Amino acid sequence: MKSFLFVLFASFTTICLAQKHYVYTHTITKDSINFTHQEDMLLHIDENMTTFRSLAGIQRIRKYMGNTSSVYTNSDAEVLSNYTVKRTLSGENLILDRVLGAKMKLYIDFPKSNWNLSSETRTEGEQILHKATICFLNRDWVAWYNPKIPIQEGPHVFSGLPGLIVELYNADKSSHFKLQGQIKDEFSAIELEKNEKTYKEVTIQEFKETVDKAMVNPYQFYITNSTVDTSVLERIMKPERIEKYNEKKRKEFHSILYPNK
Amino acid sequence: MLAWCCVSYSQSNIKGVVTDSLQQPLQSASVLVKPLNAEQILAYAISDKNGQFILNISPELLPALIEVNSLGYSSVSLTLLKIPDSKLTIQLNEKANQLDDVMIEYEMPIRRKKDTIEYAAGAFTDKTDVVLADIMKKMPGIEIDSEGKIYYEGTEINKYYIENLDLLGSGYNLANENLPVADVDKVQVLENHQPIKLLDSIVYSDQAAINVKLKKNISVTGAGEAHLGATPFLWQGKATPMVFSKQQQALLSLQSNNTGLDVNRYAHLFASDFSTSAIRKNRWNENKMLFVAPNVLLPLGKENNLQLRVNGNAKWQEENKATNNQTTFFVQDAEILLSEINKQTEQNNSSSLKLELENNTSNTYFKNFTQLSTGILDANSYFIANNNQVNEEDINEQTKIANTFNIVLPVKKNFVSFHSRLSWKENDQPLIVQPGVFSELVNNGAEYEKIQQQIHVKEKITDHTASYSFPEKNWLFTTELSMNTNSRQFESMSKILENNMEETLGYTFRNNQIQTSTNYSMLPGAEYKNNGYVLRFKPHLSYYNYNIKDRILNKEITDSKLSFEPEITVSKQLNSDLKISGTGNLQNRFGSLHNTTQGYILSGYRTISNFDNTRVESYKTSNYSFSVFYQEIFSSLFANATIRYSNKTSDLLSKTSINENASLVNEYVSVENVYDNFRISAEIKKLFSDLNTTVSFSPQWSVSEFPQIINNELLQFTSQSSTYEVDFSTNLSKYNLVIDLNQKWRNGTMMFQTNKSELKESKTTFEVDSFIKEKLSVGIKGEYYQNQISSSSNSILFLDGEASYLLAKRKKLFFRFQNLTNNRVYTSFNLYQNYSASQSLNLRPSQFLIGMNFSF
Repeated sequence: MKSFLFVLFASFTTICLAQKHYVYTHTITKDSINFTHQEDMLLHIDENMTTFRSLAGIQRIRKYMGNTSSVYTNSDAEVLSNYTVKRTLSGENLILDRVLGAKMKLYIDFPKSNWNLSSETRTEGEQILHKATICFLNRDWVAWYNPKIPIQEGPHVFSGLPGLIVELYNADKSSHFKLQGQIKDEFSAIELEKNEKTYKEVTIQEFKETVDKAMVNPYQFYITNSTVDTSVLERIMKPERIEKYNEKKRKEFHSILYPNK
Repeated sequence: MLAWCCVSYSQSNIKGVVTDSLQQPLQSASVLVKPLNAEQILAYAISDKNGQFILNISPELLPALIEVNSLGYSSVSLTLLKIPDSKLTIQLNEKANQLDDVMIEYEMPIRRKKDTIEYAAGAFTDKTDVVLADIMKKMPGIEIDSEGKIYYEGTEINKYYIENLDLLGSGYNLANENLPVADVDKVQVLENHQPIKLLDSIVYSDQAAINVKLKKNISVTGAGEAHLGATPFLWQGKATPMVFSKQQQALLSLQSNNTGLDVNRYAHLFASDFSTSAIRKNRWNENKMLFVAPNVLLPLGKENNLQLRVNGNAKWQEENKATNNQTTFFVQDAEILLSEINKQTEQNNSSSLKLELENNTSNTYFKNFTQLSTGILDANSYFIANNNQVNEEDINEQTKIANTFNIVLPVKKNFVSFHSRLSWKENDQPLIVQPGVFSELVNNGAEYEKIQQQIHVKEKITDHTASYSFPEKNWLFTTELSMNTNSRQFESMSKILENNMEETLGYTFRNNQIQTSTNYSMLPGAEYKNNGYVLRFKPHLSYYNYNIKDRILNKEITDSKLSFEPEITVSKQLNSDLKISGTGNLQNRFGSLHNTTQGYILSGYRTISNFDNTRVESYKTSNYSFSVFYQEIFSSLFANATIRYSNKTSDLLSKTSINENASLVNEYVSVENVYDNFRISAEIKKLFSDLNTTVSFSPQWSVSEFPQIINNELLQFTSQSSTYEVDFSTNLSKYNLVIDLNQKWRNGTMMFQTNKSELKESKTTFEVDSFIKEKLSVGIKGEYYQNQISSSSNSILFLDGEASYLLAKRKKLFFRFQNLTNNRVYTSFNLYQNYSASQSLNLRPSQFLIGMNFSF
């Protein structure tokens, strides 16, 4: 578990209302194959749009752009969450996801009004967290939110509660988001957004079918779908390495949209 | 239990609108329905872009509380007794601070923004840390030496700011060692910091500065302690109140103790015999001291461009030590042994006042700095040396006034700078030795009662520099002219007392010289900076001259030379993590004029100097260094390594004669000689933030070769030294434990002819603090020393215990037990050119202190 600094402010710090950045650690566990992965995710909120994407992914962009400033994460952290969630003020969720080179965009309707409020509360530090539950894409999720932070946002597509979601997990906790805190940094548009035009619009069913196809032979799927030059990769990949590559990709694949894979 | 469904036909709708104080609709406000006396949320709604909301609520739940929250606005609550007939209008007022009650901060320990590296103070703080220096020494890239000086990647910082203001100048350790860590938000390292704003990004600097960011805009803070103890009766008190704002700052330090702690790091007019020791000074130093240091920084002028800084300090200090020394001199196949029992009392009083007026803006720069200091060091020693009793009193009384003026003026895109320094210093140094020594030289071999030597020195230094700089694309060209004069009047005379008769010694024990050295330099320079490259070349051309008028011998010696002294620096930032740098310089100068006195000068009961030179040392030096710096900000890893080579060729060589009674006569003789030194040093430091652990490793290795004449024999010495230091600091918060470990090994070898002496030292320090309960902590500190030379070895373990109880937020009740094992003597070995020495230091007994630690 990453330990980062938590400082509870009583008050007196002024943060611009226009932009807010929260960091969640997403822990993915697949008990059946003994796989665990942690990744820091950024929830970026401004006046018009909320975006959610991997911090290490942003760090890679910064390094590529020659920007040496930190985004509070280890540059060596593995980026497995190749998606960006964009949510407009009206609540429309657009997910841009890249699965082994295949770029897909999906419009997801998150049922905000289906949140069930529980009377259960718990204390964490000086925060009183309230529990709420929801069923989304046939999976039950538990959220703990803080009404004292009146921001109706949360990780991924999860939003609409009367307070910021501090913790979110599914029934078996195989997917677990935990708010680490607020982060002071400035993010450029190029770091936050992906070029939507290069992404093909798909339905959730098509998305799942693409994932199924990709998982049959991940290496071949990548070679076929990648837009970058793979000739070097093809030269160095021998059959045994391809098999290892395929195993790794199957193992580490995860998606909130396709939980059973 | 309650799964409240927002959409239910059996419920009633409450409609409303949320507005701000100007009646403008507020979007995204949370409207919560709560029971009157519970935290539970029964229902909620979110206001839309028109500020409107609809709550679906069952009338049975009434009465209930409606709470409306929106970011940046004060929360509003109202009690709802029944379903309202009309639309609710809820107005929220803006908050002075735009945050709600709870805010969570998430920070990486280290981050970089251009040339600024920012360390989050909280990431380095554990429960045992009290002042800023405690956490700064854990920060990768930063080192603090025993004097409190701060180094960034091996180079001392050029400025220490608190909220961008320089309150303390070079005496910054006073703030660093007293500023409560709880008030510090961030420590920033400003790399390549140019302190003159007008020259910022124009004139390259390879030094960094520290800027301390505080949590509050205006901080009234400070640390203090009040402890009493025994035995004997002990006191230790300290109060350092401070006020910091972005415009003006003040810091007052008051300290007093008799527990062995000194304040020489804050006020050091004199070099003292009491300043160095392998073990902590408060283990052996019997003392009494009082220290006061007021410091103020005020803005002046209409636009606050001018800053007036006043730094004062006054110190009264009495220190005592008792030692037993055994020294073995190796002289031409023979050994001379010296056994000394020594009790020494030193009175060290000094005061200093510094006034600085500075205008440092992006358009103009000037600074005037005046320093006045005065003090007296009175050392009284009683020796039993090879069974002979000797009393020695050595006094040094000094007054010093210095003024420095700097101005930089822009002339179109170019710059003109003037620098002027005037300094005046006067010293009186009486030395009394009883009974008289060196009777062969002084009194034809007859024993006598006492010798009293009086030295009086007046010194004037003037240093003026004018320079013109003009930037051109990526280049900066500078032409500098400087004139430096050092004029010193040195007088000494001695008298002896024999049979109650005073006799003034003749001219062989008298000196009266005016020593003047002058230097005129022309320093053209070019600096290139682009694409990560920095190249600096300064081909100095200097004219050196000296003149010594000896008023006793009525003779004058003078010499001069023109010398070319180039200096080059090249550095390259290879990528965001890696930087390399190399420097080289040549010098061709005259040595110190101080060693030209012809009459004997006594410097202790068994050391006398007779230089009798007809000229001053002329020397050439060459220095080369190559450094590699590595920073991995994201994984908090800093490393650097440096290789240095220096060479000095001189035409004067020191000569020491050791007499059978172990007395020494120092001289200089004209012999061409070469001194070589090769040194490698490195440091790697990493913070494992997941484990709350900092680990550092710093190896050093050096070898020197140099000649020296000992008892008329020219000997070539080779000295080797290797040091390895490992530091480990961890905070096991799960177990409420804080552990600090430091291990240092040092091997030294001294070789000449077939002789070889080897010294091995090891020092282990550890500290374990356990937080038994939230407010109660106990800790144990230990130091283990091992010291080995030839067949002799020694080891000693010191243990100190302490317990503290948190009485209030910033008040701690403190109990400390020092020297639990009641060690009374510490013996160490040391290795020198032609002798080895063991020193046994009498230690303070087991002692305890009880009192309060507090911060304001």
